[in-house]
Amino acid sequence: MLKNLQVSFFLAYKSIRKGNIGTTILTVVIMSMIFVNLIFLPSIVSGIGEGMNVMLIDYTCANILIEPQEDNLYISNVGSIQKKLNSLPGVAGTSAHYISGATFTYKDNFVSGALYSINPIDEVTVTKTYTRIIEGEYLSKGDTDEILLGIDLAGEEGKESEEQNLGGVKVGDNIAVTFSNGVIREYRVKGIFKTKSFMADGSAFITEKEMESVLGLDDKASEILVKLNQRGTEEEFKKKFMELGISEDIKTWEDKASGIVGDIISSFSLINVISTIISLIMAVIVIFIIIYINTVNKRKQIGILKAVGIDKSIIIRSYVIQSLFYCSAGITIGSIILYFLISYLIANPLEFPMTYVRPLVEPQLIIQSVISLIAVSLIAGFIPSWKTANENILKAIWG
Amino acid sequence: MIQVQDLKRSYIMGKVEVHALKGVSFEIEQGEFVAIMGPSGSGKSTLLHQLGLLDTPTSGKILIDGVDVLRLSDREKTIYRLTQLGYVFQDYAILPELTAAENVYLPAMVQGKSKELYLRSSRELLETVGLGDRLHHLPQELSGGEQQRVAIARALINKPKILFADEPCANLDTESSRHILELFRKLNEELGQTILMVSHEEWHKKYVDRIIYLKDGLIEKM
Repeated sequence: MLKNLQVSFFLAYKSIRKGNIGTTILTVVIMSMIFVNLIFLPSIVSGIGEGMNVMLIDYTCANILIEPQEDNLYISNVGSIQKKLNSLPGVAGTSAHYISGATFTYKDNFVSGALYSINPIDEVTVTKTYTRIIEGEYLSKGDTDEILLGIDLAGEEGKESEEQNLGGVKVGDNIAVTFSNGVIREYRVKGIFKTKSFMADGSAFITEKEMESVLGLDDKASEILVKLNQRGTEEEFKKKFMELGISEDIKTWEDKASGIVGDIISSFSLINVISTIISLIMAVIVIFIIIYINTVNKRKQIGILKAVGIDKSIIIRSYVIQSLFYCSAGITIGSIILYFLISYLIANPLEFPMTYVRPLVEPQLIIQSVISLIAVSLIAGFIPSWKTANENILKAIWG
Repeated sequence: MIQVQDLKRSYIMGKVEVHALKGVSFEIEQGEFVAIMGPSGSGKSTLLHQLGLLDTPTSGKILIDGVDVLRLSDREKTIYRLTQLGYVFQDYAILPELTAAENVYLPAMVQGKSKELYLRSSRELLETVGLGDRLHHLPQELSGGEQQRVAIARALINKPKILFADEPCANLDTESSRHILELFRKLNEELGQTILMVSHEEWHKKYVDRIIYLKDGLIEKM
């Protein structure tokens, strides 16, 4: 067996070495492009998913979101709950929000949306909205007549949008806010933020103190956001929170992501699967054509090899080795191309409407692509060589 | 050594059945140099293909040293060709990607001989056929006669019981042909190599021990 393998390697090596260099280069380049295609698009799709997940954590719900139990509008004893949560090692911070439905009016424009209250000191330990102020300033704890607007709510002057907005409010402008309880107040726009998260950019923030004065509430919240030091430990902390006696509805960011974000990722995953199948079919066809042409051109030589007493399994194996060579060389060159391409895109992320996308290459994806490409190379190398090697010797020699 | 009994081979060409061999019987002793001669279409090459196990006859028997070789499986026939038979084609049939030495030692390599042994054997054989200075030349760098000598060396590398040569001089000039026939004669006389050669050239007769004449798929005379 070993000696037969040695002969197969010898024949394959000679065939590649003395073969047409142009054909070899072209084949390897095509294989490398197929490998790049197998990795690149899925890595972009994963990058979109990861980008949206990060945005969800950074701007919307942090790692863990605590909401009131069903039938309750608010969480009570918020101060005490936050104190308990903050005392746990691994918790980076907590921030309580009131959420109120509100109508925002500026000149002739009015938009209904969600108005959040924040404690600015707590909030900066939990979300990164404060890093995304594109105009003006972030709220301070004592602000009572000032408001922070998301860019999608404020609108941009001269820019049309599918969503309703206030038509280009600027920092320093005053807008009227009608709360769900009928209270109407006027606020000066202190800052405008742009996170690219469609959920965050359509909202507005006032301070907790101001919201409590409007709603007539104290030590309550519509939600508490919890930021953890380490992503991936959410389930563990969820259990710890329950053990602390927190009986509210505790959700991880993944629970929240399974909705809209989940649907978007599912759609991309379908595109991904179709693209992968097409790439693999391309790989089969390319390798099949190359090996087929190779074996057809070497029909006579295969006949000669059989005539001198070389077993057809040695001959078939030599062609399979050749196809594995094209495959391995393609994977190696494809990996080098991917390394530079992905490094570039990590440094310069793609700007998608919903997020900035950096390709995310998971080891499983690489292993899966390498195995798939090797498998199709084996099949595509085997079939035509098996067909030719099984021909009658004289027919192979004389056609 | 070789016993051929009532060997027949028919082909279907389109809608016509062609009887290339119509029942051929003869014997060849070990160490004989025999020529199979006859006009075109007489069945000479077809007969050699059956004896060399490159084709399967319609009926009949071929015994080599008492072994009914037609009863061997495909795999056994392959091994038999590798270890017991040598075959020289009229159009050289050497592999263009391999050097002269590599072409020669390939069957020995497949047989599992040590590298040292097959390198030495191939060098000696190429020296025997007069190509000691052409070991590392590719076929495209050799003349027709030299390529045919490489093919002969390859056929001999595993020390076959019988060497079959199918019109080995058909594509060669007279001088090259004479060299090849003298080489066969030498192999036969000095090494006792059994050789069965197909030819249609009358002047080749003087090199062989015996001639089997074929005509229309039958033996005309022996």
